[in-house]
Formats: sequence, structure tokens, C-alpha cells
Amino acid sequence: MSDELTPRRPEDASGSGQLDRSELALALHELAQDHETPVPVPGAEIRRRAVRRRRRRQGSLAAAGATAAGALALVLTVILTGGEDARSTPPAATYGAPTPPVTRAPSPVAPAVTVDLTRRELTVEGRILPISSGALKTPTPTGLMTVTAKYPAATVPGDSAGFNGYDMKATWVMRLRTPDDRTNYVLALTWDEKAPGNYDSTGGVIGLRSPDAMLLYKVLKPGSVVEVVGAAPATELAPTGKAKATAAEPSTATDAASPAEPRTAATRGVSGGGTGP
Amino acid sequence: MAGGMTEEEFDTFYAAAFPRLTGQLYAFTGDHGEAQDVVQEAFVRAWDRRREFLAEGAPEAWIRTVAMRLAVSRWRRARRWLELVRRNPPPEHTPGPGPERAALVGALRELPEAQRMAVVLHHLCDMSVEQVASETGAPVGTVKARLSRGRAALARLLDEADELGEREDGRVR
Repeated sequence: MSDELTPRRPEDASGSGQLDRSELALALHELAQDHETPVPVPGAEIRRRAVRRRRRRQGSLAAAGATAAGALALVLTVILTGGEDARSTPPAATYGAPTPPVTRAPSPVAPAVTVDLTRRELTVEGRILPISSGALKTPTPTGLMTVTAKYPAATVPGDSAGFNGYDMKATWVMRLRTPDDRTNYVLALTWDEKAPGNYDSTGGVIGLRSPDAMLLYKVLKPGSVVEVVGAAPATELAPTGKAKATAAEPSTATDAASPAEPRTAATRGVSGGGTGP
Repeated sequence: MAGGMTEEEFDTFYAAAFPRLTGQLYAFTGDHGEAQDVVQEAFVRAWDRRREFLAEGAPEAWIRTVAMRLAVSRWRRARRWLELVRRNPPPEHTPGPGPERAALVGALRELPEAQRMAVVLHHLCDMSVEQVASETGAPVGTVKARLSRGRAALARLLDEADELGEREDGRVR
């Protein structure tokens, strides 16, 4: 098989200095065929996402500018200050210096982060961030976990933690060791940014929206302790209404349950940090 | 539903074209997750903009174009981002094609973006030189040059990989 793929001998190709065209085409076709991927989600899901996106776009044209500015402010805040400087956040634990890890070294009784699966919330340094955890079939392990590694980007195995059984390339990945010695991850749920706070869609990992995951990534170090409590709620909290709430439309946000609140808290903290000196 | 494509038609098209397109995008990106991601996103956009998508008359080509552009811009963004947050490049996590396929994937990834796109569109997606030209917005002569340089570079890279492989097989040593 390998013979078809690689030019036979240097002499063969050296006539033109190029690969034989049909040979190249054949090799490319075989390569592509070998790597065809079955559909990961049904067509209906694709259409649903398209519709949701359109609805959000129409629903929040006015809010879009503000949201974008907020996101930019967050990115800038984290880049410029290392993420620790968010003045208007209710200051639970404050670090002045950008290198706090030593003081934060784990004491098992004082987790750096608490995750409440039932409320779909993660609490870190007084901030509450929305999360999405394992779907009912693939529940997220609970208890006291230790962060064993973290990567800006990594491939998360489909069987233990990924998405519909597929390996997923993810960003802001923090690896956890569970009490029963299993492995779990906290990461940016880039492939389903609407899930955090709204529904539980993962194969067990704890997913955050990207800016939140980046923020958490700055705080957690290998050795940090994360406490996971609760269980994923059996029913989804009205996902459509929540999708709008995520788009920062205040009128519809009121009909949504809890997750609207933590979001505002986070955004407020962030923009405050961005505009501050 | 406006747009002249029923939900069933779309779902059927999606189920049929998705695997093929991920294979092609894999050849272009060399990364499974990325290929799957951009193709999926392209389908979402297709349904979101059905009218534009159908007006083109070549739905699969439309999806492929969108997916390839997404792959290019994502890659550029990711690279910039990584340069911002860390000094050293990220480890590669490309899940494994067999060794002989790896040689081709590796060689493809070495090609400059424009050459790689021309080679993939022409030799894998069976587009004519003229089609590739209009697709990439480059003159026909440029596309021909890219193809020829791309093939030459691939031949050279694969030769190197081949010799290496033989030596490791113990045939040379």
C-alpha cells in the first residue's frame, strides 16, 4: 500500500521533478477516503443551530456591540493583567501579584474552585461562571479533584470525555484526577458555546464558554483542588429562552432561571476590569 | 420555508456529503478534529443562508469553499493567538494515519497554503485549473505554477520520507 503513495524511485520522478499526476490523485483520494468521518450530529441538529444563530442575531443586534466590547475587554484584561485584576468583582480572594500559585498550593479542605452541577455554575474567586457537564448517560464524576495538568490546547479523548464519542481538539484544557482515580477535564466548550448554563451536553467533561475557561486556566495550577458537587438536572432549562439570555437581551433574560444572573456578574466584573486603569 | 430545499433534502444531502467533505478537508488541514469542525460549521452556515447556498447551484462546492476558508482563517488566528500566549509552538496532536499516509499528510502540511489548496482542489476534488482559479481568485497561470511547484515539492518531500523509511526498515543499513 505504501508503494502507491510514495514515488517509486528517485529516478522515476526525476524526469519531470514532479509526482506523476494520476498517482498523486490516487494517493490523495485514498487519503481522503481513509479519513472520511461519519456525521457526528444529525442534520436536524445542524438546522437547529442555524436557526438558533439567526434568532440570536436578530434578537440582539443592539446588544451585539456591547457584548463584543465586553469580550474584547475580557481578552485584553486577561492578556494584560494575567486575569487576576478584575476590580469590580466581589473580591473573595484577591491576588496583587501575577504569580500567586505558591500561596494557593492545595489544601484539600479549601478547594480553589467549586462546581455545582445542579445549578450549572462554577465558582472561582467570587465569580460565578456558567458550565455544562455530562449528559444524563455520561454523568460527570463528583467529589474533590486535583488538577494534574493543563494545556492551552489538547485533544480530549472521545471515550472518556469528548463529544459524541469523538476525540475533540479543545482549548484551555485542565486535566483532573477524580477521587476514584479516573480522569476528567475542564475545558472551553468551543463546539457548543450555548451549552454552559443552559444544558448538559458533554461526555463527562466540565465545559465553560471560552473567555471563562481562559480565566479559569489562569487561576488553576497543577495541584489545585476542584470540588464537584450535585448532579446534572434531569430536564433542560428552557434552552431557547436561555439562548437569548446568553445574547444579553435583558427583556428575555428575566424569564430565564438562575444562569442569567451569574452571567451578568461575570460581564460586569470584566468590563470593569477592562476600563479601569 | 424559503429557499426551495426541504429539511429532508438538506438532511439527506448533509448525511451524504459530510463524510466525503471531512475526508477532503482532512487532506487539506491534516487534522481530524479541525476537518470535522469546519465542515460542520459550513453546514450550519449553509442552512442559515439557504438562498445564497442554493443560488450557486453547486451545494457541495459551496460547503467545501466555506469549510476551507474557515480552516485557513482559524489556523491563522490560532497561530497568532499561540504566539501571543506562549513562546514555544504547541505540541501536535494529530491522531494517527498509518505511516505511509502520514508521509503524504506531512508532506502536504509542508506546502504553502496556496499550493496546498490548489493541489487538493485540482487533484482531490477534481476541479479543472480554471475552476481552481475562479475558486481561489488567482489567475490561471498562477494556479498552474502553484500546482507544478506543489507537485515538485511533494515529490521531493516524499522522496526524503521514502529514503528515511527504507533505512529504518533495515534495507539500507
